[in-house]
Amino acid sequence: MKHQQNLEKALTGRNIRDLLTRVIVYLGGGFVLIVLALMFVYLGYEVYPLFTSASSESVSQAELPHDKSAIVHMQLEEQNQITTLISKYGDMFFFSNDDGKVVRSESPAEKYKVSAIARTTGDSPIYAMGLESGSFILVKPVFSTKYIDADTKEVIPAIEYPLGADPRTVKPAPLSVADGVEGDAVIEIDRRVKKIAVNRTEEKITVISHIGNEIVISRLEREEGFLDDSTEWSGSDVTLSLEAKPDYIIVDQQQLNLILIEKSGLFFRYNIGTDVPHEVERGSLLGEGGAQEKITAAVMLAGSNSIVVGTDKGSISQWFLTRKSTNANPNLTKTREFGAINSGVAAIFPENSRRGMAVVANNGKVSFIYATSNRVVLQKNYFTKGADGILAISPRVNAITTLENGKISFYHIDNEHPEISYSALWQKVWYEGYDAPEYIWQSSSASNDFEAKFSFAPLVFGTIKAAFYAMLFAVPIAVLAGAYTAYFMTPGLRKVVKPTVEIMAALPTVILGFLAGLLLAPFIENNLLGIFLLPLMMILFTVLVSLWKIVPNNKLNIIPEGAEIVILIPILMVTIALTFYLSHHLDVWLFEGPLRNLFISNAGLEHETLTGEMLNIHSMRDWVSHAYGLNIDFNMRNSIIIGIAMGIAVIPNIFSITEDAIFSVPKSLTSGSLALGATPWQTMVKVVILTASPGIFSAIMIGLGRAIGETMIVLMAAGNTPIMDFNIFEGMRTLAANIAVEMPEAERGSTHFRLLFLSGFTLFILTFIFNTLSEVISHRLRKKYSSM
Amino acid sequence: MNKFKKWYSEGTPWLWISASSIALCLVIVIGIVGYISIQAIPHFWPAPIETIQITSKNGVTAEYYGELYAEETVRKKVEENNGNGKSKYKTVIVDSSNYKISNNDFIWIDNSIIDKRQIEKDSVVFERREKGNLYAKLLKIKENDVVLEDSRQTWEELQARIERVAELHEQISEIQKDKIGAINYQQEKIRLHIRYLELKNKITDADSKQAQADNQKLQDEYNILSQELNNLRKELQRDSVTVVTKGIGGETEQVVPVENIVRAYRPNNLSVLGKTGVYFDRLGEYLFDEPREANTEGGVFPAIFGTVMMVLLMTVFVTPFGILAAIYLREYAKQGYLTRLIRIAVVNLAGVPSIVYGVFGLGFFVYVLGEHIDELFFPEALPTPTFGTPGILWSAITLALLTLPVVIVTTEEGLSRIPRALREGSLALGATKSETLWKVILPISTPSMITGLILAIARAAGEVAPLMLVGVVKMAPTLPLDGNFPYLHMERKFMHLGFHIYDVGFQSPNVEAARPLVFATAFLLIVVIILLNIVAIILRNRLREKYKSITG
Repeated sequence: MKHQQNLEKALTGRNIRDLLTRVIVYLGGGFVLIVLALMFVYLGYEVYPLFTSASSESVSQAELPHDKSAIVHMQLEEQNQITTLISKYGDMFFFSNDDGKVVRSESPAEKYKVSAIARTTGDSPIYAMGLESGSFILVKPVFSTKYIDADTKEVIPAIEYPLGADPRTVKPAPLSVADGVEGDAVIEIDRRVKKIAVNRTEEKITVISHIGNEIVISRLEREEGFLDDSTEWSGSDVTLSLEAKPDYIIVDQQQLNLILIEKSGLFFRYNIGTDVPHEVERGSLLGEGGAQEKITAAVMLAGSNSIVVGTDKGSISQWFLTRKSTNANPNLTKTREFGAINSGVAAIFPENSRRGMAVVANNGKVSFIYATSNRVVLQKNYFTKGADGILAISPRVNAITTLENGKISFYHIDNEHPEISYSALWQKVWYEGYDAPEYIWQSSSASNDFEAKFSFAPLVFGTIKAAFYAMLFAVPIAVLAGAYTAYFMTPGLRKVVKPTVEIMAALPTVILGFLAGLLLAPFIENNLLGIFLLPLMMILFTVLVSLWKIVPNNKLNIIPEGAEIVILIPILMVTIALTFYLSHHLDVWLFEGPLRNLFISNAGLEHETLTGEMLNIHSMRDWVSHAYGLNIDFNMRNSIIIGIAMGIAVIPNIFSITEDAIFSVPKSLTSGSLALGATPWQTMVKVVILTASPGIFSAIMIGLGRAIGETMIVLMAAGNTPIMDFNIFEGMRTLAANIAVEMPEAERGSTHFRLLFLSGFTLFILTFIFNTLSEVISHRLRKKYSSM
Repeated sequence: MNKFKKWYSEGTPWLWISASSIALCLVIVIGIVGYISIQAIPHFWPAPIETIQITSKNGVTAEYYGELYAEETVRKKVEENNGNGKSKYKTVIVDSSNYKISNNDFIWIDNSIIDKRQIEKDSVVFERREKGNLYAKLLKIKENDVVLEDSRQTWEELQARIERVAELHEQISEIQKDKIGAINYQQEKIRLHIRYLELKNKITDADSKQAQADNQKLQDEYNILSQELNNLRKELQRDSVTVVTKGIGGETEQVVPVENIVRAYRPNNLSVLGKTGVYFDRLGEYLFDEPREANTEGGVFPAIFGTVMMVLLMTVFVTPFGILAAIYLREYAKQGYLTRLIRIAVVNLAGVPSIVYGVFGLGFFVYVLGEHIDELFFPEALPTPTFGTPGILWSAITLALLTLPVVIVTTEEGLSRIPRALREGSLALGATKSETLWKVILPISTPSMITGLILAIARAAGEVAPLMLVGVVKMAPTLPLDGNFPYLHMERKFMHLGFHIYDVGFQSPNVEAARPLVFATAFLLIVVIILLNIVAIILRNRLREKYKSITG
């Protein structure tokens, strides 16, 4: 009885242990799936926000008191706590978005009559207030942040006068005709500032005042005080008389261009960067049929390169300076049209540092449009009628304030990645400062308001190009080598050769990259002819050696079948050395002699009239990049290097799988073929390779997957320039190398960061397809063989 | 002719071309390994110093001391006058020599302008802590600016003084790194402790007083140590040597403080034994010392240490999961839909580019896991991240994922070779499945697991791309293992041999001068990896033989 109890106990104990082991082992098996799924899900999760549109969420609303009406400008500060409102009388109200009331008011122009107000572009704007008396004042709202405790902070507004509180006169009152004579009337002239425009950098401010039919350009520069830290602005005014009756005046931030725009579409561009400002260009911003169309909004986008104009018909277009040819003068060119609005444009409010804007339509609908990607990220009816609506975008573009009929509303905005659209990633994009649409990847720059260029095309192209050249080198060698090793080689040699190739697979790619980038690249540049001759020479010598077989009475034929490599290894070594030795001399002889003469006569030049230029061809390398030669770019770190180095990295992968596939072809098939009288090579080509071809295909797939994702070799030996050029003498930047270069400095959560994740995700998906395909094929093959 | 036809129709040339393909692969392997060895192995051997006299084309003569770095045949464009006043450029092939004049300075001399090359017995190589090598002749030694008179013993005297300086440097490093490092570490701990109490609102006056007292004590210790340090530094400056160097302007005297000399030897005067001594001395420095001059001089010890440490950590993670997955696939799973899926997953894990693992590791481990760990366990250090930043732990885990398929595939292959009879025998005797696994299968398949691990280690040791995202740095101030509790600092960043190659080979200011060192590192890495692979291959082959005999 007791005995039996013990047994039961032990049994349960054993069973529990058995169960436990089973659970753990199952978990271990599932872990692999979990890891793969986790990678997929996580990478997807990081990439997903790129493809979502923006959203907005209403936070608070409030009524403005009646005396604080006639608002013409509005601005949000960085913490999104204070909305600054500026009335057409020059009064400034600081409205707290949290409390819903005005926390401070300032009247900088209390003593004067304000006739026009304008602001600078970008963050922390300065306002220029033009006065009835032919003068202006500059006012700058400033905000200081006070930490109440670690999490709460209070933003305290104030105002500053960059030029002092007194107005700067740009149109002095005329002296009376007879000064001091009583009774003479003073001639009254119109000194009212009708329109004003302003822009500034840290060092320079330009104010444009439109008075009568003149404009006055006031250019002020900052001067540091000698003795103290005080700064002073000083400068002079230039007056130009105008033909135009400008409705919009735009100055860029660098203060080089002044653009006057009439409602009719006429524009006049002045160069104000020189001592004497002068008109450089005029034209129309509206097309042929623009007679009925009127411009209703014109603003400068952040970065001060582009202007965007909207019309009463609802068309919106982007313009910037481009050149028709390299030496031509730049012209204002329409580079993009945004066709999203069904109603006339009432106003356009640009973002502060990105190329985005909020377009208010007459029907009250607001469209957030991103210029570079030509994408409408959000459309919403913030207003009942667009004409009266004013909108302010926060510097971080995470909030907006809207104002209509005294009702002020505050919204949170989620608009993180407007730069991404299908066209921005895959199509040619006309970037600011470029003369034509192009594919460009340029993710960062020192300047804050730089237009990021996120074209995936050159990276994907580079990846394909690198993989192509690597496969071009690797596939023939690896497949032939695999076939030979599996089918012809003696077992004894095979035992040595296979591990050696395994060691080849184990060579760290960082070492291959180092050798390729630092040694192979300069070597090939010096021996360009040699590297092209080498494959031919190797084939030639191999074929010559194989001719031994037919030499009569051959006593030298001591190499047994299946051990050809024993003689071939030294022969190849000699061939390589010989080829480069000869090519060295051949190169100079050919390209300074017969070949050069050929090019000369092809170019229609006489020997006697040889220019010094032509004489600069001394070798194949010179010929490649020479104007009279191939005339294409030559980069030391080019596709040849990548083809060889990455080829070496993928050869072992392709080799092993090919070798396995061919080795496991059932013997019955080959014996049958041989028995029917086919030679071993015929059996190989007609039977073995055909049977094993799915296996070879899967080997190539695996190799391709490896070539696409290889990082270190490309990073070290490809030059890393993201260009789209299939030229074999140029390098490339691949998706993988791009991640390695840029990931360490990508700001977390930014579009750039997520795009790098998208690169990773793309590589993941691509290799997933190749690997799965390969695995499915080789699985089928195994089944087929096992049934034979 | 018939024979020729037969030769062609039988496909003999094609057969030979295929043979040539595999021969080429072998030539490439031999070439790469051979080239690296040839470049790396002689690097530590003291090369003779030549005295070269040259007369340049315009008649200027100059003399140099230099080490022959390379001789090469290059193309050079030479101006020729073709008679009618026009000049013409022609490329000629010239032999030339590349001399290393000092460490950062190479000169390239056309062999035709060299008048005389000679070997002088008393030329000296001074390996300096800064500015690389100096080739010169020793003139005199000064102690506190007083010239030592006894010239007969000058060389021995110099060696003794260099040794003294080396000892002083060692003492300084011990104080600076170990002792002061420990004090800084403790002070930081006290600060974090106080911050922790503050965050928890549990801080009392006693705590802050205690902290202040502790801090004061450490500060006192620090003051004593820094005084000691100052004394040692003064001691260092005692000696200097005056040497004679050569250059375009003729001979010049130069004063070199002995504290700046790592080693001085006269290669032209050394016997083979003496040279061997220098060789191993330099090799030892390379293997066991800290790097100097932005990694381009001195040793690679931190990189070796970091690599080994990371790889070992990785094994801890990869072993259980890899083996369990293999056991599941081979012993437990019914061969069906799920195992197909898992096999596809394994193939994919093996095929996913390593940089993708880096991206995943950075995003998921560092930013997601790391930050949560920081919030939960290290809130006092925030906003400075502890685990929320790349480090050795995350590198090890990332590489564990990367090498997981290697372990699975190798272990599974081993398991598949165990004859069914053994399992069935065990089960027939009434053992449960888990008992069969633990007592029969695992012991037999241990060698295959070890093979898998070795291959995983070999793979991980050479992998660089993902590490660049998850934890490797050019210069780590501290090792991930030291004398401060808890000794193993898994959040620290580390140095790595593979990254060392990339960094020194491509990012250092003078790539040419650093190249021999890069070759040495490449050689070290390649030797370790090839050895690991060979061991794995031998193990595997033995295993196959063994099972053959069991089945047989």
